[in-house]
Amino acid sequence: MPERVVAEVSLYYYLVVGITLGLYSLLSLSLNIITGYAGQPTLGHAAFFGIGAYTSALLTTRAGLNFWLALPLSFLTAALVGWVVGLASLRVKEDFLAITTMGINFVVVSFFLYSPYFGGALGLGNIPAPALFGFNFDKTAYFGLVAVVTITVVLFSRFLEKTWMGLAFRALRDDEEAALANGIKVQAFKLWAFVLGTGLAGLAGSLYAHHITFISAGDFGFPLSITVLAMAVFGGLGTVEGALAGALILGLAPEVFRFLADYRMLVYGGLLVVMMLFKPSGLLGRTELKINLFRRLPARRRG
Amino acid sequence: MRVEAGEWVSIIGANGAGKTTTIKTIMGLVTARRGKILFNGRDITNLPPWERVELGISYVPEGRRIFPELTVEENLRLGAFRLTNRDPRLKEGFERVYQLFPRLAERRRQLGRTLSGGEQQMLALGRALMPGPRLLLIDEISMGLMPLAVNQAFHSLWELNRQGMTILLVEQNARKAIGYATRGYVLETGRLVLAGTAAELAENPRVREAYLGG
Repeated sequence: MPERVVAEVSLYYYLVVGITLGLYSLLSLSLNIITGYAGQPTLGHAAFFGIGAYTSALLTTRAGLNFWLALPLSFLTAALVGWVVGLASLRVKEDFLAITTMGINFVVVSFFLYSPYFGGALGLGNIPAPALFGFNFDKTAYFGLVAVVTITVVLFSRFLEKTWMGLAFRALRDDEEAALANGIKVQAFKLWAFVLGTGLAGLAGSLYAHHITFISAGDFGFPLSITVLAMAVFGGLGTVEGALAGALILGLAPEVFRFLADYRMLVYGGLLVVMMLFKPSGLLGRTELKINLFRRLPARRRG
Repeated sequence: MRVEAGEWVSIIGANGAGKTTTIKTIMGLVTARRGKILFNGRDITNLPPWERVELGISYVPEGRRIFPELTVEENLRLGAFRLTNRDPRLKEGFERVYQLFPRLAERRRQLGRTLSGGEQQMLALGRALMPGPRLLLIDEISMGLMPLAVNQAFHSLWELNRQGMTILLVEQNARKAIGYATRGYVLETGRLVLAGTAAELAENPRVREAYLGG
């Protein structure tokens, strides 16, 4: 009997780690659309993950909506806010855009924290696990669901790379003014990148909420944004392989190196700076993060 | 300032005279604070750049500004971004560019950054030709090129102009810019100080002294 309990605990553990890695992959892939494909730096990705999580949690607990309806609605809500933030990206660029998005992260977290409707500091609990035709999703089924969504987003990213929109994103990333001079509606494509990327982060947020069943504002803070950015940059911006590799390696690291788990923000932040200095395109990447502050560092050292 | 259909007009002037700003304003990359821009009699002062491309204005930016991480073919495809894949004008565009620059056809799968300076200039020009423009705006075509490549670039423009393309060129290399042009303007600190046919400018003592080296 004790042996069986151990086996179940360990299976449960692996499923939870698997789901976490899937969620990290979704976040990293969605950030890759904005920062990798379209070259727009963002330091506030966790905000959209949170918006998705809160939307789904509220819709299922307060409005009594079904998970399968709440899931796409959290995509839409996050995408809508992402569109507004995208409007900001039309006015500010590079470092300033990074700082603006960072600010938005703090605003969104405070919003969750201080408005009673969102549960305030206590957060939202009793978020139901999804059910389908009377079958309640256990962790195995949930892992399957997250895996299916992740694979779909991988395929979608691949597809996006090949479309005219993917080509426009790359032109925008390579040289925004040249893209504009070539008659590309740069503004429209920036907005599309934000809408798609933040929407997918919202989708991941919904999956997170129904997995963890209890959410609070602190789950979606700036440290998570940095973690996700570190994953995408470490793996390499602009490629699906890079986004996945970063999410899997950095997502697994705290599980493998337990003793490091407490210092992981230090590790992720440090890794981000080290990558920018020595290998800006990451392990498998095609492009670099457009935050000049990091790039100026080595120049200053040389000088 | 006027540019007639089929003309080659060159604007010369020192660094900081406002040449690039002039051409970017015509393209819509800089907003005009005063005045009007008419194209075929239509006021385009407030049109966004993509609508100007649609009307038949193309721009070759200073320093070429090709997309370094995209292939030659993708760079050209982006030049005609507004055309769908099935549009026959897209195929015509590729044929036109590859005929003018066979070198680009040879390198169509190479990344932009792997091209030589002269080839990059061909690519920048080719990209501007993709949508089938009526007016080409060219900013400093000779910048950063070796003399042989400069000659080639000017020769390609001359060839295009001979086939009926209207050209507005902004250039530091005044000798070449005036040599090929029908007419020219001299810009000094944001003002047009002189205008005339290429021959008149070449004879003008002030131009000779300041821009043609005596």
